[in-house]
Amino acid sequence: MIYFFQQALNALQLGSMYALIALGYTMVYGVLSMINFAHGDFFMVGAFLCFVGASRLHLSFVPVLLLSMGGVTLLGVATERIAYRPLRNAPKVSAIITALGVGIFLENFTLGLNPYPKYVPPLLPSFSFNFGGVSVSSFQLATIGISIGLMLALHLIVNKTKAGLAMRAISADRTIVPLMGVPVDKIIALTFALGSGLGGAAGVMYAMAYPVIDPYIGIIVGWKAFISAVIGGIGDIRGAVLGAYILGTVEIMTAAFLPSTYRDLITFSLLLVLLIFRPRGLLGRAEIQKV
Amino acid sequence: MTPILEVSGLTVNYGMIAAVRSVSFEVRAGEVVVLLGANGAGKSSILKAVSGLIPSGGAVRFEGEDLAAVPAQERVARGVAHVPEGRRIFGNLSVKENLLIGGWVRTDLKSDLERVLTLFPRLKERLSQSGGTLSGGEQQMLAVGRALMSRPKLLLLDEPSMGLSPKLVEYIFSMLSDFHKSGMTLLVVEQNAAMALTLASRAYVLEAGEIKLSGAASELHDNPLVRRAYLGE
Ligand SMILES: Nc1ncnc2c1ncn2[C@@H]1O[C@H](COP(=O)(O)OP(=O)(O)OP(=O)(O)O)[C@@H](O)[C@H]1O
Ligand SMILES: [Mg+2]
Repeated sequence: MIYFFQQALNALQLGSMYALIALGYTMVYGVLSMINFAHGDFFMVGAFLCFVGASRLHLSFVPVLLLSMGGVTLLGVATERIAYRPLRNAPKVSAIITALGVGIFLENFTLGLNPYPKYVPPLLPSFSFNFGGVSVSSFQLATIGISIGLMLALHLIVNKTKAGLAMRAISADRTIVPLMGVPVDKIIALTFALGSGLGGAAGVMYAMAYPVIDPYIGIIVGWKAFISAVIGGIGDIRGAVLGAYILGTVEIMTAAFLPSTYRDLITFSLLLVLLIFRPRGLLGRAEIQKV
Repeated sequence: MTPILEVSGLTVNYGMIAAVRSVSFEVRAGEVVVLLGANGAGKSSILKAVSGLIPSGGAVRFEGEDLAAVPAQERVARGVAHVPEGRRIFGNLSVKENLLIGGWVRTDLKSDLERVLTLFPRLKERLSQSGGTLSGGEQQMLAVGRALMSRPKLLLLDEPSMGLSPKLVEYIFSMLSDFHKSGMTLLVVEQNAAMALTLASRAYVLEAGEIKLSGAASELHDNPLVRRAYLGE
């Protein structure tokens, strides 16, 4: 039983990381109906900024987190401005191909700077608490606590602020939002900023959990987070979080109780089966439309 | 006196399709002007060009100033509000949120909200209901209320009576008449020509992207061509 709770804790940690990344996919999809396939690589850049901050600049945890979040926020906003905005009214494929291109560029740019995998030194003093036999490490506590904090902050922004209201309106019907007086470009840029910043934070959490990083970590982790968003219902914020924790749990529990080579097989099968029964994901709904 | 809205040589093209060909007209402050025309004549395109939703050629001047370089969202701040064809309520937002976003350019949202809710008590009872679950008539009230939130000087309405029961059409038109009496300027696109011509002071008849007829609403109401084409005689 203790073993189970220990694994549940690991699932919470992994799910939190997926959730932060999945939110970026789902928010951008919400406002642009476009899947930002470079998002996994934004996350990777976040992990490398964490490496730079910790190992080169010798910063402590909080400044490193701010560096990664801030750096990836700028990256996301710049990518939207330079690469995606000119294609906003172009066919969807053009935007998707551009996103893939941006991702490959980021991977190779990072590779060009750092040909070898990098080791990220521990950012927090390593200790653990014991809750009735289940041990919680400082890293896990930081990951879970900060993720939940960030998600609550996002929830407040989206549901309680004027900009959040505009985001939700854009995701419902982008073409008429300018008629409300809303500067749509600014709101879309803000959406990219928020989603990318969360991806940057996830990069730090990844580097704490798996301290050896390379420029390709964004691919598989990005796919998993994307799948989380699809499971929850892409475009739906709560769905992304739900999907991420489901996926984290499935992955950890498969590895804990079955041969770990089954992990990805089961993850992807889950996705396929779910999409057969709920093509819009768990919380995705058909548009309510009235003539 | 310069008209509040002056449209000259307006053209709208969709790829190879010329939807609006060099249309000129004007709306004076305090007037109700109606645009009539068959399906596809280019009525909605004209309204979209005036509100800045689509690019256009020619000139649109509002209160004497050329709007060519003014994007749609800034036209709202200047006093142009547009109730789009088919209402286009944000179905995932509550009634209150739909109204609040309509007032994006305003600072004192509370009093604007109160003003609109006094006009549409039906909306007041449904503030937290999601926009998508309103009836068609309620959605039209919400669409108009949302546009009023920005306190427009010029209100553009694209087929406000579309899909409504005769009773509701009458209600909506009586509201529009009240707006007019309170000094608001209206540019209305309508299929319901009888109602529209009663409300309007002047009208333009559009055919295949060009203005075919124009004049005082009462004159057009008696024009045999209009009677045959739009009043079902
Ligand atoms: N986005 C678009 N792309 C291509 N063609 C368009 C587009 N929007 C409108 N058109 C065409 O432009 C012409 C004018 O359309 P518009 O919507 O302005 O007509 P309308 O007078 O409002 O018609 P209705 O009474 O049916 O609403 C039509 O032939 C229409 O097919
Ligand atoms: Mg139309």
